[in-house]
Amino acid sequence: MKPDPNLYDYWPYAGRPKIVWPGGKKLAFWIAPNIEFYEFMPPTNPQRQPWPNAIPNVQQYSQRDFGNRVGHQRLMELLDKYSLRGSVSLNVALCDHHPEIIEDCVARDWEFFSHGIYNTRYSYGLSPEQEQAVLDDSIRTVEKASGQRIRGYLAPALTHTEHTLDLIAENDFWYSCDLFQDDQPQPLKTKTGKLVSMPYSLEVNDVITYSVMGFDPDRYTDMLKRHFDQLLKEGERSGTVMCIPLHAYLVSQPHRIRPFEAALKHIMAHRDDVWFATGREIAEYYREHYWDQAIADIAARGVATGGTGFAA
Amino acid sequence: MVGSVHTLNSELKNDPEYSASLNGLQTASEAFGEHQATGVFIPHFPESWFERSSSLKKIIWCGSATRKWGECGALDHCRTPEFYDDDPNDKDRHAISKSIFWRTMRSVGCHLEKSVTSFDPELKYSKHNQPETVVWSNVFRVGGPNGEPSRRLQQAQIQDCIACLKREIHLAKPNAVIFHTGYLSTNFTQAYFGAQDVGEDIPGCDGRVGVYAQAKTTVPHIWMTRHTKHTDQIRISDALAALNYAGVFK
Repeated sequence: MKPDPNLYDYWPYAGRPKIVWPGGKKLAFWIAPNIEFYEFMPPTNPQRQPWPNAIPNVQQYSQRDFGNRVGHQRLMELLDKYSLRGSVSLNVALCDHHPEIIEDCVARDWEFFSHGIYNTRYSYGLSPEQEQAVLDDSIRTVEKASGQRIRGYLAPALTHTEHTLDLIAENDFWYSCDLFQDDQPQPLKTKTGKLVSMPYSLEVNDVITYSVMGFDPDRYTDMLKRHFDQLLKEGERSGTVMCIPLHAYLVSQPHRIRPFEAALKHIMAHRDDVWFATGREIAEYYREHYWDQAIADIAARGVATGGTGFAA
Repeated sequence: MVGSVHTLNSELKNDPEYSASLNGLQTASEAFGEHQATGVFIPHFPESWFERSSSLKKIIWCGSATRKWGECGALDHCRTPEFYDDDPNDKDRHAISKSIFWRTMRSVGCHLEKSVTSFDPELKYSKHNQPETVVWSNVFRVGGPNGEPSRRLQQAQIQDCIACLKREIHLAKPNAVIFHTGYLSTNFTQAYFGAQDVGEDIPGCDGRVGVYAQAKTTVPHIWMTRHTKHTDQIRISDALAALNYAGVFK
């Protein structure tokens, strides 16, 4: 195991080259509904158990299943109301298990990115060949179901190996959601490709707020508003990114959906300053307009930590 | 009990646990309907495998899923002569002569059966020309309309599939089980199987050995991890090195 993964350079926030999003916008905003499939009887992994209690865990399984049966429809209706497109963090097995959901997303021109095959099958212990097979499967399955070539990756259940980022860059993925080190995109130091670290979020992720912190819906709404306000303010200096990662089995519960709408209303009220985009659109724009500037700035500041360096 | 299992050995046929697993698979197949799922694949174990006095080396050669299973709903289709008789002009069928899985299996079988003259590795694989020492089995036993089972079909059958395979190993007592299951291997199939990875690579090849915890006798379980793009020769030498490591040649 390496002492430091050396995935990115330390790059102080202040004084970076200014980012301006399309149309002069200050903040790039994207919503990432996680559409996941949890197996009822998943294989065990020595490093992590899929359920907190013994298997079979009927209660946990059926709670997740709520998202695929009720929650996504409710969330889709809400996002339709505000003409917001989702960037779907997809367990690609969904294409087999619930093709109706995939069809609904395709009809709305939503983006798909890979969140592994199942959320109950972890990357821990995978060889590079096995992980490559997971990527091949992801690309092939989503292309077949939607016609889209996926460009983003969020490791299944946030489980990684040392090879994950190099592999996804090698497979011409454009962005990773697996790092939480910044509020702006940043080039990652992969051996090949141009892989962007895309601001996702654990802080305003509904899993953390509801399942881990146990916050009530109004507090979540308040958090989202304050998170947005701060990033918008800083976006005047240099464009920022805000993502709201969602899980329909949580945010779409009947008592939570309207408080969430209140947060969306707040964000939509600032639409003149916000670029409503998908993960792929943000990554593409950044790669085209700011990748080279970022690398030059890191080099000029003398903060590069060496290692494999950026892709040529 | 699953019907039309005339090729099933009596040891397997009379085993209640094996029958229960086959019935579970049959139920899964029927639940998907005859146009969405094939019949149940049942491997054929030669009678010589169950002769106690036999000195035969016995290897279960386990794939993941068969790409072409024949017609959906045709129970036991995999056991018909047509399944084994390879027609090079039929591109829609499984390619027993062309597939690296079969070529490697044939070559390893030949190596283990040097004294067996009835098996000719240069001939096409057919029901009359199978290496007796190597038996083909699969993780998945029910296929979909296009061959490989969908993930829904995989979920519906995996528990019974693993139970089936475990029982085959218990009853047939192979010298080793060698898995060519792609990325399913160490983390997925192995985990379902309850095998313990000994945590070391096999010298001279890309394979790992696990120990089947449920078996009273220790049957080496070998997971071949070599990437599918490698050549026949590398795969054959890998398999032989793994079998040697597992003590099959002693």
